[in-house]
Amino acid sequence: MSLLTDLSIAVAAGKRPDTIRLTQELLAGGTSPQDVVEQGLVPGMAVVGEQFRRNEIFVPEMLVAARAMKEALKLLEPLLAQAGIKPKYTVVIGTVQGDLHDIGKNLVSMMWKGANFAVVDLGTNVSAERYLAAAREHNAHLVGLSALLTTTMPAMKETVRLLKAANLPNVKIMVGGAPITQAFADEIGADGYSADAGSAVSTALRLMGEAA
Amino acid sequence: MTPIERVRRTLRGEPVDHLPAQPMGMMFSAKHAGMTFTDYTKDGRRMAEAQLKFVADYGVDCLLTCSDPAREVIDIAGDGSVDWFPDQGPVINEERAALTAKERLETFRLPDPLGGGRMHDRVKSIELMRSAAGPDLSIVGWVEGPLALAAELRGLNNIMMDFGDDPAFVHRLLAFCADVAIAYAPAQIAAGADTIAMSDAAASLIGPELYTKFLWPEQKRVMETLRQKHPGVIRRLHMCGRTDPLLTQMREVPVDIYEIDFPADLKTARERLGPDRVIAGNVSTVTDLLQGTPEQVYEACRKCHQISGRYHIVSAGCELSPLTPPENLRAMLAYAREHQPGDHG
Repeated sequence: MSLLTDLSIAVAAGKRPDTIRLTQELLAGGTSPQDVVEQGLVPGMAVVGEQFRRNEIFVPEMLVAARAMKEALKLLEPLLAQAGIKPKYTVVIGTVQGDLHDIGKNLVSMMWKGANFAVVDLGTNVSAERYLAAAREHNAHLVGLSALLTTTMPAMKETVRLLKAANLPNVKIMVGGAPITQAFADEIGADGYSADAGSAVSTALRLMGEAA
Repeated sequence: MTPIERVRRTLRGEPVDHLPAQPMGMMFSAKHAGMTFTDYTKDGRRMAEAQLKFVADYGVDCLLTCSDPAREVIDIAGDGSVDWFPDQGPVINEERAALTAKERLETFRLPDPLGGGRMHDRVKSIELMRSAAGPDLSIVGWVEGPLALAAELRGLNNIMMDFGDDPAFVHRLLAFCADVAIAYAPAQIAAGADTIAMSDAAASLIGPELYTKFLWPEQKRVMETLRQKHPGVIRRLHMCGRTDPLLTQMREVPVDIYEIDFPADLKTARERLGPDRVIAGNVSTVTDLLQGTPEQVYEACRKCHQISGRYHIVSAGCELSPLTPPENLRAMLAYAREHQPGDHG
């Protein structure tokens, strides 16, 4: 097995020390930071997403894998920045106004980071205006809205309305959360819906026009 | 037949006049009574007032006192981690979680449910409910499940990581939270609750392996203690979300009513729980009750009854949205009134 494959396996298993060690070994051996991300971390996190979608792993295992990935990225991001390499896509994510629940939003955020998206996480209780300002400021390709409460679904609708009215070029909107359905996503004019964090990457890539 | 008789006879599989209906209405009942949910949660008198009106106007079979883990959190650790928002229940701010420093657990003492705090407020609310409703109505007292309370004390994201990082701490914390539930239930029973429900909201986020190792023994301990010390009290378990992978183990938790949330597959629940466990649920609070029509809700109730069989309580999968159209809730209660347990074919 190659070190890149070992890295994928270590990330998927959430083995933080192994993930750091393998990242360091790969870099020392001359593998480019971009290849470490795209051929080591991204495939590892893709496995995590698929296992989560199939109920083979659950939230604790997913969070541990994401933490291992983050540790590797701490080593890689300065090198990527130095080389002027940026992720292809930028996404803005948050939980809508009035809603303080963040576990679902965090899981999706991690999966998007694991797919090598630049993620701007606005946190919870995010107003429609803050989403819009962040989308403009970061030239986002995608805005992700999360809601856990049925009472905050109207805030999601309002945020989608404001973002659509701003007519930002090439910005797609994706929604999710326990009470959210494809029908609701369609009704409020969102471009995409994901039922779980495991499928959030493939939905986002599809919205970006890439085969997932 | 009184509502409490209806429930007890359903549990025993005996004939009843019609199916019991026990949808969980908290924010809905506050809105129906014309008060903010903040007032409802802060003042047990308002909660009693709203629940009594909800039951009287809709014909629900029980008064519910659920679910507000910040009652226990504030009585255990003060209100430093709690945020209040207009017309919402209190919410834990994870950045200021009471157990941000895990060592603080060693300083926690079991709270006194009659000590004048927010836990006591629920007890007083139950006293008011019993006094106003008399003996015929079921009153459902409420305790937080061990993981639900642990997540509120430690922070949901933190406790999820702790399972791998510090299993001994998780065991200690869950044991403490189970002890809190064991201490809280008798006070509610003495005040007039005939049923104790335990909700473990975060349980479906963990898989069967962690559930079996960490949470299940503590859930069993709470319910087994209740069974032994208060054999006449009905025990009810609510776990939010898709609990399918946990159902085989959940069957071994000694409860009378399993409240199954709508993301779970009811056929799987019936298969795994066995034919004679009482299932409450699992009409969708979103696609049926919130977004559907009365006809759709009635049909969803029929489908749940058909799958559950005679050991069934008509209910939603989780708490009713306050935005639920009243006619949809009335359709649910109409289904219950128009059907007997055996009419599920």
